[in-house]
This record gives sequence, C-alpha cells and structure tokens, in this order.
Amino acid sequence: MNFATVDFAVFFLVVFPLCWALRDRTHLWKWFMLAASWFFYGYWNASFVLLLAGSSVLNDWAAMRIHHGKTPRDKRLILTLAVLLNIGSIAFYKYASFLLEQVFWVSSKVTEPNLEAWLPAFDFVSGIILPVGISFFTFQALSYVVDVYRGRMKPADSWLDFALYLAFFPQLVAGPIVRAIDLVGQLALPKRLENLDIGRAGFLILGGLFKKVVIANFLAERIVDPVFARPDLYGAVDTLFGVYAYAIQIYCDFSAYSDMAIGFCLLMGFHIPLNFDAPYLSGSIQKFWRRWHISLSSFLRDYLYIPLGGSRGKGEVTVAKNLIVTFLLGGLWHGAGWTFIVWGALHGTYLTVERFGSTFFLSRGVKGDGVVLMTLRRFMVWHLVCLSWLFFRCQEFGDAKEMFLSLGDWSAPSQMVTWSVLVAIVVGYATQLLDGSRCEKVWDRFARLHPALQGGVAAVLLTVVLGLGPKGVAPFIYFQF
Amino acid sequence: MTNLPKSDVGERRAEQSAGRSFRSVVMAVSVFYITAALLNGRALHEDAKKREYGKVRDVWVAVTRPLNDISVFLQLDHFREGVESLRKENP
Repeated sequence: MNFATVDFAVFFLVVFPLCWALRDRTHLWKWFMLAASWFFYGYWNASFVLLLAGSSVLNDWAAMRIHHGKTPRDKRLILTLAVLLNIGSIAFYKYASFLLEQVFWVSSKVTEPNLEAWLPAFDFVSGIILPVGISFFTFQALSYVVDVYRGRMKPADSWLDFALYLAFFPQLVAGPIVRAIDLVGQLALPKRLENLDIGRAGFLILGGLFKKVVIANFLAERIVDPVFARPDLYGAVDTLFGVYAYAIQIYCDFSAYSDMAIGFCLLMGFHIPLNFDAPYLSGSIQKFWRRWHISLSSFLRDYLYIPLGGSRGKGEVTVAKNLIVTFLLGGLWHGAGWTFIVWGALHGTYLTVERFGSTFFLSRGVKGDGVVLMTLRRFMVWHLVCLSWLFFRCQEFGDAKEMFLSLGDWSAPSQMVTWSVLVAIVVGYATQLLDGSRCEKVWDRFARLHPALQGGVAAVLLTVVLGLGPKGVAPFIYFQF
Repeated sequence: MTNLPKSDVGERRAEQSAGRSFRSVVMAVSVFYITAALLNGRALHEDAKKREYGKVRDVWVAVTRPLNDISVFLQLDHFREGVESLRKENP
C-alpha cells in the first residue's frame, strides 16, 4: 500500500483511532497492530505475508536459541544459520535471475551453450516475484539476531513483540531500517497521548507528500523518464539536467517516504531515528553518507565495515579494501545489476580517495572550510553523487554509454529544460532545509493551533499538494529494493 | 525489555511535549478527514471511476458519490480545480 493513496488514507482512518483506543490493553493492541501491518503488506500480494511471518518465526527462534545457548560455539552456529537463511532468502528472490545470467555468460564463454538445457532454469527464475521491502525487513531481522548475539540487547519478550517489530507497517516496505534495539523496547511501553507530537508528525507527512507528489513525480514525468529512456534524442543540456533532476527526484521520493514513515509512527506514539539530513549540502562524501539513508549507512558500518576491520589498524590498503567491499555490497543491496555495483564501487572509491586526500591536505594545514572552498566542495560532492546516480538509474551499461555520448553533444537545443523543471529542481534542492530539526519552530507553532484549525489547515495543504502534482500516483522508487 | 532509542529529535521532543487530550486529537483528525474529503470529493469520485471494474470499484464509487455531490453542491471542489489550473497554466 502506498502512503500517497486514498486506500492508505482509509486504512489509517481505521487503524489510528483503534491504535489509541486499545492502548491500555497491551496484548490486544499488539495483535491488532500486527494484523493491521500484515494487511498493509498483504494488500499488494497476500501470499508474501507468509514470508514475513516465516521470517519472524525463524529469527525469533534464532535469537532465543542464541540467548539461551550454552556455549559460544552453539551461539555462533545458530547465528551462522540465521544469517545464511536471511541472506539466502534475499538471494533467491532478488538475485537468482542475475546470478543465473552471470553463470550462463561465463559458461557460454567456456563451451558452446546448450540453450535447451538452460531454458527451464531461465523459465523458473523469470517466474520469481520480488517481495516488496524484502531487503528492508530482512536487514532488520539480521540486526536483531546479530545484536542479541553480541549481547547488545535481550531477545524480545515474545514472538508477538518481534513479529510486530518486523512487520510494523509505517517502515515495512521502504525503510528506514529501524533496528530492534530502537523499536522493540517502545512496543513494551504504554502509549501516552502526552507524547503525541502532532506538530512534527503533520509537518513530516505533508512535507513528504509535497516532495513525492509535487516534486519527485513532476520531475520524473517532465524530464527524468524521457531523457533516461531515449538519451540519443537529447543533447548535453537536457541530459545534464536530466541527471540533476534524477538526483533531486530520488532524494524527494525516498526522503518523502522516510518522513511520512516517521510521521505516521509519531501519530501512533513511536519515534524512530532520522533517515535524511540535508545530504546534498554535504562538503564531503563521508558527510554525504552520514546524511543520506542514514539507517542503511549506519547498518553497513556496524554490521559489515567494522566487522571487516573498519578504519583501525592494518594499514591504509586494508581500510580502502574494507570501504570498497562495503560499498560494493551496499550497491548490490539496491538491486541485482552491474550498474548498481558500479554505483557502489564509485562511492567506495570516492571515500577512499577522499580519505587519502584529506590526510594529505590536513598534514599541510589546509582545512578547506572557508565559504569559497566549502561551496566548491559542495559543488564537487553534488557532481560526484550525480555521476553515481547516472549509473544507478540506467538499467544497462549501454544506456549509461548513451547518456555519456549525449553529454558530449552541446550543439543540440534543449527540449526538456523548461522554467517549471528548473523551479522544481531548485525547490526540490531547497526541501533539504526541512530535514532534521531545522523547522522545529514551525512544528511547535502548528501544534499550538486549535485542534479544529490544525485539521483544517492540514486538509487545505493536502488539497494544494494533490492539486499541484501530476495525475496518478507513481510508486516510491525504493519499493523495488 | 527496556531498550530505548538513542537520543534523537523524536525522543527529545517526546520528553518536552505538552499534554494533549484524546478529545483534541480526535477533533483534529476528524476535521482533517472531513475537510479533505469534501475539498477533494470530485477528484476522489473521478479516481474511483478509473479503478478496474469489479466489486472494489463499485464500493469506492458508491462511497465517493455522496462526497462528490456534497462537494459540488457546496462548491468546495472549486478550490482544487483552481489549484489544478495553476499547474496546467504553467507547463
């Protein structure tokens, strides 16, 4: 179910009052919320609710066995099993087709391929449907099992608590990747209306709708989709602005989902960590990754980069290897394709070069934090990130090559860069100023209004947002991951 | 189990937030839904008619028809029309 649809509005109209009405009957409340979350997920494809339920049974069992395990060896064995099964389920649904293509390609280089022998395998993998949000809820389950293994948290009090954490509908299909340590504890606490941050929730939901419906959908329709579909029809100006527009589109699309998820959590009395904090205003790639998809980058840091050795000891080459491996896998997490791997490799390389470069400049007393240098750094970070988005958005290397060829053709007149596209890019860039707690005074002012006025203002703003956006509701980009 | 989130914007604000009666929350949400449904009644009805034929469509069309009628009768649909025309005039 998509947050920006009337179906979700009706769903939330039922869930919201019942969530609060049942808050004193904790056990019933948990079952109700679990049923609502499973309905939310099953609305797209009911059969995958079984996958979600199965994942909660398996990981809850694994965490319990680890917690009660008698020897470290037993615990390690169960952890390994849980990691293999979780990664295996993602591999099956997400990477089976990609892996088969690679095996076929390699074997066709070695021997003459027997197509008839390969056909059943290709038929089988082409029938696999990718469950929405599998990468998100599987990573959440992994974080839980690993944290229990590391002794950072105790297992949830019951399977119900864990199943609700895993399926909790606001952040189920496109994140943020909320760790068990951040959410399971909140499930056990009684909900109090005194904690209902209606100002911030309303701001995040309406701001998210604006970013998604008005900016992201508009840019996708007016420039991004046409330019990326047929770059050979456009010149350098259209292609360049097509890539800029995609950078804004993906930010407005994904951060909108995160903002709305946080907002709906707040309306039900939960608070989950930020996922975006003005990433394109970063003066370095390292800072960009501290502000972009924060829940994924911190997950990769804590569960992959640091276990690989992180940035401590063993020399700079090892650190560079750890960074690149982490980002290659981060790229692969987004999708089964070489363009995603290149995207990850680019970011791993950027970070490695930046690390060496900053050591070099700092040792010579160059800080680079003056206004001019900071502007230049932001300009450079923006363009490096845009270069990586070009690969991220292209399905094949051939498409990326076409884009680069178009970028070299400065003689072709612009067809797609209109005033409204430029305004949408600038406004989309400026929406970063809504991230974090930069607009706290506006939230507080909204929260102080009379409740009837709050509802009326929110309804008028919603109507403006829906009226300004293109017709129809495109799915969020990160649903496919 | 008392694992609480690390300090963040949400936690800080939850500690600061003033008391809020259940009635005020219900009022804000009710006013929001009723006003939004009336301002968007016509658009909701049009979207419902575009759904795939079947029982679900029939339910949506039946539910949104009175919203559309009230919205048109009270001329509340003009507000969204005005906003949509802004977009159409600035391609």
